[in-house]
Amino acid sequence: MGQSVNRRVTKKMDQKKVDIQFTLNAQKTSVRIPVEMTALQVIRDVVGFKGSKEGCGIGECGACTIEVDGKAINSCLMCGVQLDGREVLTIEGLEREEGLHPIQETFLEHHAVQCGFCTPGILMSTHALLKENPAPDDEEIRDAVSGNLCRCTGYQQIFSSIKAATPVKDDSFFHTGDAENTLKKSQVFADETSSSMVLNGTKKGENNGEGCHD
Amino acid sequence: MKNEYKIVGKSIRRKGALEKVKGAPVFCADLKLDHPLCLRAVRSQRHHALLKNIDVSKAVKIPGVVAVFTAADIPGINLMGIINKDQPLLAMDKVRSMADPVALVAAQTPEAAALAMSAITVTYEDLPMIFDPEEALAPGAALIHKKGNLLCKRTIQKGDVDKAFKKAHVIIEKTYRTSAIEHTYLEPDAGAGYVDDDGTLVIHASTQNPHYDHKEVVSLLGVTDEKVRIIQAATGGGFGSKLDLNVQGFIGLALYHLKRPVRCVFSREESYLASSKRHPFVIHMKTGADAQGRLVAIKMRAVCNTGAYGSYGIAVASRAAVHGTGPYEIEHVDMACSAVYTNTTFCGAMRGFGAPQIALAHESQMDLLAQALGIDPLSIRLINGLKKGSITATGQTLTESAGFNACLEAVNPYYKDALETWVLSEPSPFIKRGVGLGGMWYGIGNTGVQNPSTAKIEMDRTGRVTLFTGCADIGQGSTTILSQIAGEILGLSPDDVEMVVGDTKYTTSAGATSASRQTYISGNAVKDATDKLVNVLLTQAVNRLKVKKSYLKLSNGTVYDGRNPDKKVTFSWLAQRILDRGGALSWQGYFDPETVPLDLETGEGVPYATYAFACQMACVEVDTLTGEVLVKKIVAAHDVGKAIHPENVIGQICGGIAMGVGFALMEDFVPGKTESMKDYHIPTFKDMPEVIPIIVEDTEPSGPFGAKGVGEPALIPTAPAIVNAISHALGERIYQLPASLERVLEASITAGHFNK
Amino acid sequence: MTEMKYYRPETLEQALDFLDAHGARTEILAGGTDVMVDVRSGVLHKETLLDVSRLAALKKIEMTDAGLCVGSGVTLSEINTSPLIKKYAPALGKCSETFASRQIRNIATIGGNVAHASPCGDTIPPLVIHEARAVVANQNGVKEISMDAIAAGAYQSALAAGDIIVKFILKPREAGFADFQKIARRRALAISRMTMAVMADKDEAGKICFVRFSLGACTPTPHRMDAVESFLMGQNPTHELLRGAGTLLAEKMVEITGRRSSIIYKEPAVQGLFMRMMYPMVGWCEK
Repeated sequence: MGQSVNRRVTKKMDQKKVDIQFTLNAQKTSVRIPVEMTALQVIRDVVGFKGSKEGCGIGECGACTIEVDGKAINSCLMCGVQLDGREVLTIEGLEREEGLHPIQETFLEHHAVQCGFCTPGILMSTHALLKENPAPDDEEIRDAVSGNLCRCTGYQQIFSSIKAATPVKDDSFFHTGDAENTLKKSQVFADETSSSMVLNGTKKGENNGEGCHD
Repeated sequence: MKNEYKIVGKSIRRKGALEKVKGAPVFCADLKLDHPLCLRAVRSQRHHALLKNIDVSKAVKIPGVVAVFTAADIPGINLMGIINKDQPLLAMDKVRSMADPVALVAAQTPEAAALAMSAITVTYEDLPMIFDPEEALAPGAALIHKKGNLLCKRTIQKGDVDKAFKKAHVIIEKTYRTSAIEHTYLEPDAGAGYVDDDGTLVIHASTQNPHYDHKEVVSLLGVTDEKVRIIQAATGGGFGSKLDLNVQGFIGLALYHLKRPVRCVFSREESYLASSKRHPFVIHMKTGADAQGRLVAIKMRAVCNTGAYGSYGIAVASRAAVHGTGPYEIEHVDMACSAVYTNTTFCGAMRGFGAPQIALAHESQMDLLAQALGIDPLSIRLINGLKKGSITATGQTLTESAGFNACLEAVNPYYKDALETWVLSEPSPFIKRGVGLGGMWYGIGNTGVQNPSTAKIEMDRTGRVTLFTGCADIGQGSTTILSQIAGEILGLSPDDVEMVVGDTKYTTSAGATSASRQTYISGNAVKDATDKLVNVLLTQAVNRLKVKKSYLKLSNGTVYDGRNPDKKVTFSWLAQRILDRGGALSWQGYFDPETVPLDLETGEGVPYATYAFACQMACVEVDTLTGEVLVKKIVAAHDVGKAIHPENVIGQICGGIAMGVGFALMEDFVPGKTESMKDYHIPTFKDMPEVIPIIVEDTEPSGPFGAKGVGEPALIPTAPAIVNAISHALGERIYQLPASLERVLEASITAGHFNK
Repeated sequence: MTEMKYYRPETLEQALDFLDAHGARTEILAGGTDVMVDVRSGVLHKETLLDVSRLAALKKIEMTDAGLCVGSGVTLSEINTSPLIKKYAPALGKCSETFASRQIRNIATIGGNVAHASPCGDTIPPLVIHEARAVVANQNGVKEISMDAIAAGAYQSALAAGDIIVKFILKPREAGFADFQKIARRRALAISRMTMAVMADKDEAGKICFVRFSLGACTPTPHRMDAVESFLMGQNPTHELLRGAGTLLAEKMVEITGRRSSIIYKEPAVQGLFMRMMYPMVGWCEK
């Protein structure tokens, strides 16, 4: 495989890169990335999980919300290298082997989804909220989701969905990011950047998943 | 709300929602492509200038840059426009705003593209800049377009307003202003494309109208229809701005020349700079009423700033003129609305097409008249509300489905209660509570023009049904409700209605997802197609079951005798029979609302076949010390004819209200100053009121199962209701949107609340 | 892309050593909420990002003899849930409730908010009323800088290349009355147009025996309003007194900002917000 000729010809090929390792949706993940890369770009472009979205790139909309060590954060504002050693949960990791996560179910039940672009971010904010407080009151729900903009729904059905999922009584509701906890395998591939990715010890291109377009 | 149907009228799980809660839908920024080139538009550095030269020689030499295109590279007609074609894809002889694209860069990486953009040198010869429509209309003003700075003027004249005003008991004459608004859909404009094995240019686009995109790209490239395929990708909202070509032309051009995969994704900043905006309006309105509160005359002069290009400006001006009376019967009418070119970002379709702006005026006028006459705001609306038999400003008699008064009656108990109890209790000595009403009407479909929809339904040999529609679902849920309509007629669960949506290779045009038209128009087209299919099935079933057609029913993939359900035959049996005998199981449906074009001077005609109506009540708390306004509750009664999917309707109402809260209080797009989401505010969860939605169903016989529409109606009454509520709270009125901190505090000070 | 390098020191000493050698070419990275925005817009021209987000030395909230110490690396969320801050610096706790969004609070740090020196930095007025000193370390040792001195101007902190804020030392107080309020264009994710922080206590007669007040966001740098404090001291907090104090506050603000177009709103609004925030004190003498 190797580096394709048409990549990064604008700069020196030995661009500064950092090796990091983190747990992503319960899978140990290793990547080598430039320092300028945001966590969102790492997840979307290097790992290839497209569920987290870029709505603004400056932390003003929440569409990029992921969970890092149990906390909801704007992945467009986090330096990618800071994912090192963290437990990261993205929308792709919410679903379980046995089916949808309870909040995914309530969102469907209560019609909280229209265009769907803000949905992953809102689900992640909700999951992080309920992890910290399984029985939030209305104010706290509002506070937790106020960093996620939605232009379609007006938030009301989203609110009903979250209320319907609380109080959370079942511990298995929360993903712990435990590596033992197997989750659905997702497509991974390295995208247009020249960053490389190592997943579970296999090198990019070495028969480790669909979609590597070399 | 009674519902006699099995599938229609039920809030089933939306098609596509499951994928969305998993984060699975593929938006154009997500689409997997093989080393796609990054496309970036180089935009004008001048507001208004002649384009003397573009020097791309340095840019093309930059490593990683594959091509730089200018107008000379456009093989077809370099003009686009959804109504009139006045907008070049790439600037030819001049630029008319800072958003105008002058060149298109195709590069291997975003970094190379950025370097190329900086290396392009453009020589301009400045022309006088015009930002204000009044200036643009002044004699001797520099011409932005050769044909002049007036895009259009829509006039409506009925009766004799001058005479009627002389007899009026009270006259209110005021000026209202609204600002430009940015759609702020969560997904920035995006598209991606590649060349298929057979040479077809395939463009995936975040769009509201794939078939229009197709026509426009074919025209730009000067190729045959088959050469281009537009696929509507997962689309993260549009609200009118994804009706114009944002990225599709760029992608088509690059594919045409380079024949390799490309992607064009706007940053939020570029979306703010370059995509269309809501037209800002200046509205002079004069309304007269008799002593009993009956409106007798209305005169309106409105000017909207359409920016550098026309886009939907003609539609906005038309709609504003037609809707200017509000949902009220007024005998004498003199309306004029002009759309004017200026050197700002072009304005186009934005949820409501001028109706939300005009509603600020007509609803404020109603409250002012009520106050002058000593009548309460609800009563004056009841007195004048349009109903069956009313005649509109364009001389159209409303023969059906005019549920405005029903909406007022639905809101009435909440209104009384709010006035009698809520408003009187003060949460703090500095908070003033107010309650306000907003009424609206909204014509479904495009104004006085043909805007048909088509659809196709097919059954295969096994009895499986597929519905083909060009109707773009941008989150409002059209795919679901169209499957419900087909499902209801066929007796099939919507899960068993396979949908092929928004792919110009397979679907035919459903018209744009705009003007709240898809439920009514595409719904009817789907109904038409499905009825035809069912007719064929029933005819064959009669043959088999030996029972009169009128006794036959459909359910669960069978046709059966309604009097004796065991007597039945399956779809698959019927399908095979029909096909073996050379029959047809593929049926095209069509619907075009019955309209009559408006007379160019008097505006007389039938602009729409049906209208939605609504009334909203807003409860607000005004902080008299700081100018902050909190909308506590909105009760929203909407006559939608028939709610095919009630929760979808509620979703539209809540979403529209959110947009209305933003329009009323915090959204103000200032071209040249508003750059990103840091300086443009749409409501967050904490800014939302509690919404009590009330669905009113005044059946529209010409609608599918009686349905009309709700997408835009949801937003139109909100800002007027809030402004009326603020006025009620303070005793001082605001005539300009947004009712910002500054304006509300000023009103509070003027009203004497500040120094208490 | 600027091809930056990254270094994550394990201890504060390592961080200081690095800054000693490379300070001028280094950008300190804590939460990243300001830094990554600058990276994206291409205005950051530094060689290395120095990641201090995991330095334990910067993450402590503790009471010492010097005062209430809040590490520069403490996040706004941590401030929000800290019992020590709730008790001894409640205005700081309050400002964390309305700061940006939960996602941003989870990574944004108090040190970053101060070092960025935005006029709208919400943490600054509460720090000012607690007479906070920033403990700043560099190659020459450790110095303490007052909040007045740390903000040299809008977006210009007095920090030099090679400096790092280690912690803030606040004068703790279990004030009888403390608050932080802001005006913004919406109720979340909004840059403050005006902020205020106050703490006050009353004597047995109900008169104000202690008061600290700071104004923020509407002036280029934060200000502790001594004149307003003096006006209030020893007085019975009546409605009229507060109105008088508000008028004085507005005068002082205009002295700083001059009469620009935004003053049409700010002049009454500062009085309005002041009244709204201080109003709970009215009736102290009657109770």
